[in-house]
Amino acid sequence: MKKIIVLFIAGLILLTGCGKATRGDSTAIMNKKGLPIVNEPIELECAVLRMTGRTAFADMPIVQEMEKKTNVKIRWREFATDSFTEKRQLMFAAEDFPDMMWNNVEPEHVYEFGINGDSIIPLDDLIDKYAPRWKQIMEEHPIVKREITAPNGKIYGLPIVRFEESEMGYRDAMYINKTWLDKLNLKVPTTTEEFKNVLAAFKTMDPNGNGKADEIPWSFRFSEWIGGEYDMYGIFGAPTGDYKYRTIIDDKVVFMGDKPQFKEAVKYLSELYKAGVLDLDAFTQSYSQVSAKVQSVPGIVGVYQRHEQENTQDKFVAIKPITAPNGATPKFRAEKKQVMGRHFTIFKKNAYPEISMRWADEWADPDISIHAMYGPLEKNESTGYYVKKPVAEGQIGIAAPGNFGPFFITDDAFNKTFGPNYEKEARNLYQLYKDNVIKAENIFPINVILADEEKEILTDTFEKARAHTKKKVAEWIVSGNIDAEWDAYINKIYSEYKLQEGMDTLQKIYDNYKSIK
Amino acid sequence: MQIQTKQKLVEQTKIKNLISENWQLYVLLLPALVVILIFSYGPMYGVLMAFQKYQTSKGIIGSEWVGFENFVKVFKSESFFKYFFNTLTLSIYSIIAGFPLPIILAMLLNQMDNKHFRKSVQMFTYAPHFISQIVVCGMIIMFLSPQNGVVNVIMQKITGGEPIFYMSSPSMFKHIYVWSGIWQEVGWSSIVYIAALSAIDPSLYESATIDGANKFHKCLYIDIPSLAPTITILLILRCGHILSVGFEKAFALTNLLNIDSATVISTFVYNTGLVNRNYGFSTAVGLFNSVINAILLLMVNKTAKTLGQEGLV
Amino acid sequence: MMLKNNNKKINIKYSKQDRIFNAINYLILTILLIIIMYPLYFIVIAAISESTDIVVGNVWIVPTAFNLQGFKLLLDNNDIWTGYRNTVFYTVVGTMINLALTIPAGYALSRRNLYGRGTIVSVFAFTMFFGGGMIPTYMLIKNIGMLDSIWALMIPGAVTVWNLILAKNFFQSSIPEELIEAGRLDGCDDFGLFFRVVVPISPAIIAVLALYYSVGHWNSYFNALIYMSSRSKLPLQMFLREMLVLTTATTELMEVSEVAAEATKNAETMKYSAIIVSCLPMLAIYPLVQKYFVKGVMIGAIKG
Repeated sequence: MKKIIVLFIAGLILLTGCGKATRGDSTAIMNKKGLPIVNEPIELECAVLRMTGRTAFADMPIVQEMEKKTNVKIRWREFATDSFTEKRQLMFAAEDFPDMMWNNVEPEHVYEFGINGDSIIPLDDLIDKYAPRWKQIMEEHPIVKREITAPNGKIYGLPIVRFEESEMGYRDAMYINKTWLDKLNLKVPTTTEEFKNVLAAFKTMDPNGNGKADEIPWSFRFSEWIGGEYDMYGIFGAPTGDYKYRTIIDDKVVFMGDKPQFKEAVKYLSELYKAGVLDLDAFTQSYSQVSAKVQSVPGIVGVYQRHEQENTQDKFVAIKPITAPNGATPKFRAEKKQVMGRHFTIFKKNAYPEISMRWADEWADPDISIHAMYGPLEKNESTGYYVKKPVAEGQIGIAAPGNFGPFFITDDAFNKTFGPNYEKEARNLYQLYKDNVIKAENIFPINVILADEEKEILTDTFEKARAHTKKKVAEWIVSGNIDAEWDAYINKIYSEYKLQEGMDTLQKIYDNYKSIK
Repeated sequence: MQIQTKQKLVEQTKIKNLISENWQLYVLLLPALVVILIFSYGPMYGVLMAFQKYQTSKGIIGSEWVGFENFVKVFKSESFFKYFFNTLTLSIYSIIAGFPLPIILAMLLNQMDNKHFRKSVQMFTYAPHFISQIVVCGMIIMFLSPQNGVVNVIMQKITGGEPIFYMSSPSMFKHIYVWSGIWQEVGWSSIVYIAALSAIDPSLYESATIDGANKFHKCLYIDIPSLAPTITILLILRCGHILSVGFEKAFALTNLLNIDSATVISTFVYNTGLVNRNYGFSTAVGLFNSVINAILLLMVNKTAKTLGQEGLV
Repeated sequence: MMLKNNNKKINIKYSKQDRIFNAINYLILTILLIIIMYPLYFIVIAAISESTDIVVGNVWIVPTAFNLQGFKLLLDNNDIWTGYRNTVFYTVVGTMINLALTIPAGYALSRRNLYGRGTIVSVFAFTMFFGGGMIPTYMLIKNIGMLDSIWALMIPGAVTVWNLILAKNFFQSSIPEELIEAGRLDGCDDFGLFFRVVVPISPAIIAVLALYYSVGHWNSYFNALIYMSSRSKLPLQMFLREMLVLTTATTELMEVSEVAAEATKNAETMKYSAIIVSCLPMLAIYPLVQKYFVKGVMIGAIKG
């Protein structure tokens, strides 16, 4: 009986097949410099996430042009947004790999299949020999090299680099209803006290004049990075570089969830809640619901943080971060990551790795990258600048890759293409907030690759502690009992969840990351 | 010695005869059996992951065997019993509150002589089943919203008090979960009972009327006994899924304030399996789940049999 | 007592107890109807109201507008029609396969003279509890070559053990022995018994299973999510989910195109329009199925 089972299983395993090709070498047919990359067209398969709102990659003009130029034909394996996680999982589990992948290989994948396995190949050699643009980028910008180098010193993926000013993450500012302020004769608040008073006024003095107390002073969404409580921590002097309450201060990884300033921030929020000025749907609503509320007629929202252009009836202005009574310099919102790794990986089965690398390098030309990111663009002859082409009738989606791919966007290329007036609002916001924003070097590198043991330690200690913090903050905002429960909370995260051990591990990881030259 | 082998031979021939006599029945059975063998038993080896420190790059053959270590980790993890308790609570509550209602509904509909009314009620009660979970949960959250949800608006008009934040209370969670489930499923679940009731010989009702029985008597003495086999089998099947509280609905109704009551075993499996990719661990949880389910099914099955009903196995 | 033709009203005299019963019955069913219907009614009016009004809470009894944007966005999308076409195909063909496999097997397992019956039932039932999981199943489908094939959505799930047990149970308890005897006397073998005697008198169970299976197909999306990659083969639910994801995802990486911006504005209404678009066909089918639940179907067979 046992024999049968073993045979059965063995038979099934055999069925899974083992078609692992040996590492290819395509230098023979490749042109070392210039275009086309190969004289006779070859085909490669590239996996990519096709977000809803984009056309098929094969239909994108810029992709088609690249194909003609390089003679490298791409068979796109596209994943849809809602099934991406599962499908990618299955791709790795079934070892059903493409030749290349254009985005979102997670650190765990690199760890298991690249560092500890051999399905994802290291790119150092290839970059050195066949990707002159990327080589130069890494020399000029050490942060790029640091972001994409794994703990074992090798590079497993090319990044997407976004150096344009307007992308600095300040587009999601805090906006206040100017129409209401004017109506009630109030100034734009600059301190937390003033803010509280303004919100209370919004609630009680019926600024939209319809006789109903339907105003929502602050359309707040709990635990959201934008529009949530994280901004408050920075204002009170406990800036959180990421949503896990970590910040790097003087090269030390600091947990903000136990600081007295953090406590003050939560207390302030609970006072706001008690005064009834926070949106009661704070714990359950989605962004589109906030967006709908903001756009309602008559206006009912006083303050909100936004994602995109809203058509509001009232006039809203961005406000500078308010100051807390404890005198801390308010830190508000964190700088967005400019370098995001693993946007181009090559798998072992790829028979033409050298050609693939040269192909990837072509995309890093700043002019091409700009069109790939923001396209399709058309030139406005009178201004000499480009504008976004409107989507054609019946076409669903934008015909350009967007935020995925080994692109290199520079501020110069951006200005050259769009002119100084493009994304004016985003740039104004940048100027408004740039002194108060948490800088990139204070943010923990979330894309760093963790070893299994490190991951286990963190899951058991740090992750549990910070989840507990989040839960407690939610409870305290509603109950207001933070003073009574604070000590018990501190005790719990340190003795039960062994937070210190987690922080020490994080420190080690960070030091290792920092040491890469 | 010879007698024993002869007996064995007789037995074997008897079996062969039984099979060859009924060969046609086996043919009717075959396609379904083949499908199950290939598609359900084929991948069954995946269960072995529960005993391994499974890594996708190494596969089943290459991953390290760790025996019951995964199970130990499961029981040691502090949240496990909370999840287990939540799952059990929701399930048992659902069964006690939700199992009898479709039966009663089916009987009431069966006794409703007004055809048009009956058909309309049937059609509207089974409609909610089709609405996807996510949308139902979105509606629940909206109806219960303390800001302006319809439930609070009505309650305030009646009692004049403060709006109640239903979704923030861990203790309210189970009521919200169970009764919204009943709303969604009572009509749909009654269909099978309605079908079974339609198979009852109408002459039974006629003779009962002659004997002086009213409608209530008919329900009690004709309908329920006739439904007994269906009820039994469905109850057995239901108990056999007691730990399989789906994760999607619980997840959609979860927020940070009621999370203690809302996490169930399948949330656990989802988090450790899909999100953290700890397949060995999540398979172990799933296996534990299945074993408990199977034991319960066998227990209920046995009970049913001793009560005179035909069980599942 | 006046017994008229079936088409005319029959005057039945109810006893007093029965009148009370009827009254209570009406009351209970009406209350139930209202409670269940209100959310359904809400869906309909929400589907034509403005998103902002829904979220703010102005939509409760009457729609606030006659806004068909939600529907327009959905139905303008050509993909939705592809989805409809595919889903109809999967549902019709899939259900036929389901019934062809489940009903005969259910009958066979209901016969007490089937040798090994208990073991075989256990073999089926075992799979309700224990399974290999998503990854081994995916590998199997891949190795058979069914990835991205329409058959992947109809063959692996061809038999739902739950339904099989239901069928077995029905055949066990609802087919009178006299009928079987009569059939044998007529010279029917097992096939004959099944096809000519049992099936014609079992419209109820066939209808129930047809309903269960077809609803299962109609609402399914997970298998398509895992196994399908060609957009031309995706079922309706996948496209609906796509539209909903488009409007409700708020990750920072989301680029906002004009289509998306328009859709976000109408996110809430579209959610409800999507339900109507996906449920209406199914609701329309039920009346057709209902007539199989008519009383006395069995009796005609026995007398005949």
